[in-house]
Formats: sequence, C-alpha cells, structure tokens
Amino acid sequence: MSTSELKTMIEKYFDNELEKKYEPLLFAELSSNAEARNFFKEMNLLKHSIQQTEEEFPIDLEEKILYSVKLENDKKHSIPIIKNVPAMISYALTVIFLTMTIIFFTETKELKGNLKETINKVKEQEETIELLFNRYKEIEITSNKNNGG
Amino acid sequence: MQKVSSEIIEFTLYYNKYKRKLFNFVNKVIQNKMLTEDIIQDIFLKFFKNLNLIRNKDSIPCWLFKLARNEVNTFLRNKNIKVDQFNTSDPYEINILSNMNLIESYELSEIKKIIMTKLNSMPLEQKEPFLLKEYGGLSYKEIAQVMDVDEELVKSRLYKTRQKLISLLSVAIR
Repeated sequence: MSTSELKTMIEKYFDNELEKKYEPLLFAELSSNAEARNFFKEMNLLKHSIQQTEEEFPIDLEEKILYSVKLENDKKHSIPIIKNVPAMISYALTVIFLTMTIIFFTETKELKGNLKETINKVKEQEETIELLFNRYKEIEITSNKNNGG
Repeated sequence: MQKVSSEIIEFTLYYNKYKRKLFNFVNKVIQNKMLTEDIIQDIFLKFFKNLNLIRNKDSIPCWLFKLARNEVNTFLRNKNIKVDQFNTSDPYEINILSNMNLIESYELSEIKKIIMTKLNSMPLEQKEPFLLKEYGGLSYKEIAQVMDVDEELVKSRLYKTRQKLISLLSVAIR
C-alpha cells in the first residue's frame, strides 16, 4: 500500500470513517512505514490539540435558551385562537350560516305543512259547498203573461 | 405539576446532543462569544418552532448546522464584521490542569494559540469543513450536505487544512 493511500486511511481512522475490518490492516501497514507512522503521530497531536480548544457550553446561555423555549411552548399551547385569526373567523361564520340554514329549513318545512293542510281544507269546503248546491231541487222560472193587458 | 410536552422532551434530547458542538463551531467561525450566544439562542428557538415539521429525524444534525451556517453567513454579511485575528479570550492566558506540569501547560497553550491563529487566517470555505468535522462531529457526507458541495471536495479541503496545521505544529514542536 502506498503512503498516500495509508495517509487517507489514517485520516479516515481519526474521523471515525474507517470500517472496523480495515483497522488491523492499517496498524500492520503502519509498523512497516515510517512516514505514515509519523503522519499518524502528527494527526494524533492535531486531534488532541483541537480537543483542548473546545469550550464548555455557557450555563447562562443554557438558562436563556431553555427559558425562551418554555415561553414558546406556553404560547403554543395556551392561546391557539390568536394563532390563526382568519381561520377562526371563517369557522365562526360557517357555524352561524349552518345554524341559520337549519332554522330556515325547519321554518319552511312547517310552512309547507301548513299550506298543504290549508289546501286540503279549502278542497273539503269546496266539496261541501258543491254537495249543498246539489241538494236543492231544480227551479224552473216561468214568465206570467196575465199582467193586466 | 405542569405536564411536560413530548415536544419539549424531544427538543431537550437533541439540544443536549448538539449544543456544545454548535456552540464551538459558531464561536470558532465568528470568534465573538456574545454574538455566538445570540446566534445559538436563535438557532435553538427556530429548531424548537420547526421540530414538528422535520419529518426525517436523521437529517436533524444537517438541519441544525445548515441553519447555523446560514445564520453566521447572514450575520457576517449584514454586519460586515471584521473577524478578529484573536479570540475574545486572552491568548496569553494559560489554564494549568492538575495533572500537567507548567512546561506541558505552556506548550499546550502555545499549540492552541498556533492552531487558532492559523485557522483564523484561512478563508472560510477552506476552514469550514475542518470546523464542521472537528467541532461539529459531522461525517464527510453530512458536511457535504451542509455545505452543498461534493463529498470528495470536502475530503480534499479537510486534507489541505490539516496538512497546513500539521506542518505548522511540526515546526513549532521542533
């Protein structure tokens, strides 16, 4: 294996990108390649030095973040109505229109029933009147010629 | 007792996993602790607001670092901030760890200073894959996704940055 290939493997090893099965091969190659061994040491030093430059997460920042997240969470769960005003208005209007439609439908149905009833009554009355008319005998009207002439 | 929502629990898990990585990445790019804190707070608040919208949970590290990258870029562009060559902390300050002697601590402090100075002098596009790898802990694939570049380009930039730092360290140690 060439030194450049070995260096790539070393980089992958330090970056946790080298598959476990290649690790024995890497160390076997390292034992016979002084340049690669040197690169390994340098990489190790660099990694160690970089680790030393890492800083702890500030506690006051943690408090700030958690507090703002808590506020956001409270806001999310306490006032859902304010969140989407146009949707709430359209929802309210829909409910109003639906109620009005039901009321008008019931009224119309009632009026339709009343009208039917009235029509039936009128028909009945019409038939009664006709029957009453039919009960009387036919009247013949004749003219009287003896009127003094 | 107030009921803790599942959203909060999910957020806390991701927050604990990535807070330090994000903080170090942003801080190393803009080199200003106060501004870093503001940016980190914004990132996590946006993350919380959008947590339900992220369907593929595996993409969360990429989502977070992409957001961090955008925030940093917007900030640098809008404010036209000149990035300091040195960190806000005192570069001559030496933190002596209990298990180290004075010479070791001094050497380590010098090495840290050398690395940071060199990194600061590099253009952002060159040092960014390095910072995402070392401080963000992202894989090559994730870095490529965050930066919207080819994976091979990420590897090559990483290699070049490391070579520069290693050669500098070798000289310093000698």
